[in-house]
This record gives sequence, C-alpha cells and structure tokens, in this order.
Amino acid sequence: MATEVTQRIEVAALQGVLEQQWMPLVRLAALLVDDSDTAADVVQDCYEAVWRLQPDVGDAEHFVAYLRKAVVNRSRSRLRRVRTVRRFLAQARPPADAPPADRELLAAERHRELLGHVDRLPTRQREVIVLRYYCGLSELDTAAAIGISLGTVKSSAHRAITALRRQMKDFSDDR
Amino acid sequence: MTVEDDLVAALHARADAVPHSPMPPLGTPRAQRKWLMPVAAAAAAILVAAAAVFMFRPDDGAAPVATAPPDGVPAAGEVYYSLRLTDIGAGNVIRETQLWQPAEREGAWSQHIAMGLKIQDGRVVPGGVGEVGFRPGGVCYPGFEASDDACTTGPSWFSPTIEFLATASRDPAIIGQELHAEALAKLATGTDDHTAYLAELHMIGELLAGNGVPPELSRALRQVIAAMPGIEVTEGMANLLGERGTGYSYPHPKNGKVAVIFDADGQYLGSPKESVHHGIAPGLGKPPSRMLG
Repeated sequence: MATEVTQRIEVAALQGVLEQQWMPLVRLAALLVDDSDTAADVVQDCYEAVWRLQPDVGDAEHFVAYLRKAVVNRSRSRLRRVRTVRRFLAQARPPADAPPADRELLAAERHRELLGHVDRLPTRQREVIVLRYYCGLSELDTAAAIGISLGTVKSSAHRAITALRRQMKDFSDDR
Repeated sequence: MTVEDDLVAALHARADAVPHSPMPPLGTPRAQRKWLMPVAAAAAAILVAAAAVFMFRPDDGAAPVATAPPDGVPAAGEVYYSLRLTDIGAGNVIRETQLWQPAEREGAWSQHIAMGLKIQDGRVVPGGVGEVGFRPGGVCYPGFEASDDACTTGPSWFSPTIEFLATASRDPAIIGQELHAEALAKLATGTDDHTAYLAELHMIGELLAGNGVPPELSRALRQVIAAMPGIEVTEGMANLLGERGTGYSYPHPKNGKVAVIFDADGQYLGSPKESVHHGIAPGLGKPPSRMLG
C-alpha cells in the first residue's frame, strides 16, 4: 500500500513538472524549428518518451535540464528533415517590401531580418544562440544542454555573433 | 542597440508569439500533425517551381496537391527522392546526386548529378570539375533496361527493392544472419568473417542511403550493426555536412575506415564522406515536396 501511494505521488510530481515546463519548452522548440505546431509535436514526443520511463524528479533542476537537452536533440532531428525543402523555399522567397519609416516598425523589421539570419545559422550555432540569448543559460549549461564542450560553445557563439553583426551591418547599410 | 540586445528582444518576441496550447494527455494515442509538413511543403514546391527551372527539368504535369500517405510512402504519382552528397576522394571533389525513384520495381527512375569543390547550404556549388545536369535514368533502379539483373533477379539485402524493404524482417537477429549468409555467399570462397562483416557494413550503408527504408527497419539495421563483432562506436561522429550522430566503423585495409552514422532516432545520416537526405517528390525531376526522417 505504501509503495502504491509513493508511486502515485511520484507520478503526480512528474505530471506537475511536465505541465509547468510545457509552454517554456514549446517556445524553446519553436525557436529551434520555426513552427509552433512542429514545436509542440517535438515536446510531446519528448514527453511521451519521458512518461514511459517514469523518472524520479526529485532533483527538479536537473530534470528540467534533461528535458531541455531532449528538446534540443529532437528539434535538431526534426529540423534536419525539413532542411532540404527550406533550401528550395529560400531560393524562391521574394524580397521583403521596404517598411514605412516608423520606429517600431523599423525595429520589428530589424528583428525579422535578424531572426531570418538566426534561422540560417548552422544548427549548432543556432542552438547556442537560442540557449544563451533566449533561455539565458550560462556557457557551461549551454554546453551540457547541447552535449558539446565549453570551448565549442564559446567558438560557436563568437562565430554566430560575428556573422550576425556583419549581416545586420549590411542590412543597415542597405536602408 | 547591440546585436546581442536585439537578439534577446527578437527571440523573446518570437517565443511570446507562440500561441498557448494545453499539455496533451500523456500515455495515450495521439493525433499527429504530420499533415502540416506535406501541406506546407506542397505550397513550397509550387512556389519554387518557377525559380527552380534552371535546376530542374520542366514537367508538363500540374503541381499535385500532396496528401500525406502514412509512413513516408509516396502517394499515386509521387516518387521517392534522395539527395546524396559524396566526397569522391579526388581532391575534395564533391558529387551531388539527386535520385527520383518510383515505389514500383519496374518503374522509370531519373537522376541529376552536380560536381563541385564547395558545399553551400547543404548543396554542392557546381563548377569547374565535371558534369552538371540530368543523367540518363532507366527502369528497375539501379538498372537501365528491362533485361538488367535489377529487373530479373530476386531481391535481397545486397540488392533490395522497395517492396523487399517494406516486407523484410525487422528482427535484428534474423537480419544479421541473413546478411552474413549473403555476404559469405557473394564473396570469394574462404573469405574470413571480418571481411564479410566489412562488406555487410558497406552494403547496409548503401541500402540506407537508398530509398524506401522504413524508419523501423533503419533502427533494426542499426542494432544489427551495433551487434557486429569488433565494431567501433564513436559518439559525435560527423557526416559530410557536419551533422553529428553515433558512428559505427571498421578499419578498412586500403581506405581508412568504413563508417555509418545514425542520429538519436536511429535514422541514417551518412558517413564522414557522405550525407544523405530522403524525401518524396511529386514526380521525376521535381523538387521534393516533403522530407522524411
């Protein structure tokens, strides 16, 4: 009986953490795969796998880091599948119309341009950028979430920021 | 405002725009949103058709409305598509092969080859080193004529057809036995086990690079490879495009290593000298309308 009660408590705890993390993880996945429906599928896939394992969530922080890593990995796999279609799509994408000279609209346009460049970063650089600048993870936690070394996080972030800075300078010069 | 500040603001704005969705019930069958990809991809295919004329042979058929058949099987009129980049080992020359192959064994297939020294956005930048364009296809891939072996001999692991792959055993133990027996039968009499396993690893790589391998068969083949005696396992091995997964390899007496790489889902990524992506196209010579995992 005691065992059964313990199991129920553990299941409830797992359910609670998963519910709490659902939208943060869907948003993270959306930044990695560009599409909120696909993002929800990615997170649901992770959740189904976790649910089958029924892990101990005693260390919630560690468990959330584990979930985040699973979402990053599955997003990468999902992104790989759609990459070829996107390459063809990118070739056909018409140039954006010039926006009106309004400050907020210009900022939105700058953000849209920047996110377009983020989407075209190599997968690892994009993951580093999202985990560092959206999730606010340290370089060490970013390394753990992606499964790469600290040095690779630093070099990937440096290369990504350098590329984005250059591309955004080109964007400003064109306007 | 710095790029870093812009990044924080832009990423949060995009994340905040994700509509709220309730967590679905866990541990119960669920409805997949697999229709989204083909529908989006069909739209993409229509959009790119005009822009991609310089790369692809024009076709008289109207762009189809994709209806997603289950498990990555082409619908009527659709064909399997693969994009394979290979370092051919001749001064960094990369060959890009696009292959269109029907589900039916006897059907017509076609291919487009591009050669170059550089890869950009996952595609070869053609130039300077050889042929670019459509190459002759044929019937009964990889055969060209109806009288070729590909049309007339029974399929096997070393010479599979789409139908064979769809119906073959998913039991790694059975597959392993059949592959080993076929390798020993095909190789010269007296071939040792290690050479047979080397041949099997190479042939499994070729099979996985081909079309029509269901995901569960890919996972079973990975288990077959993992159980091969003396196989070397390398985490984080990268394919030609830098996509990383778990690598399985044997040393090769002349060519360094024979290696295959799988992603976390057990799907084939290629090898250090190759990358492979699979999809479905609305017809021979047309851009893919959706990609498969």
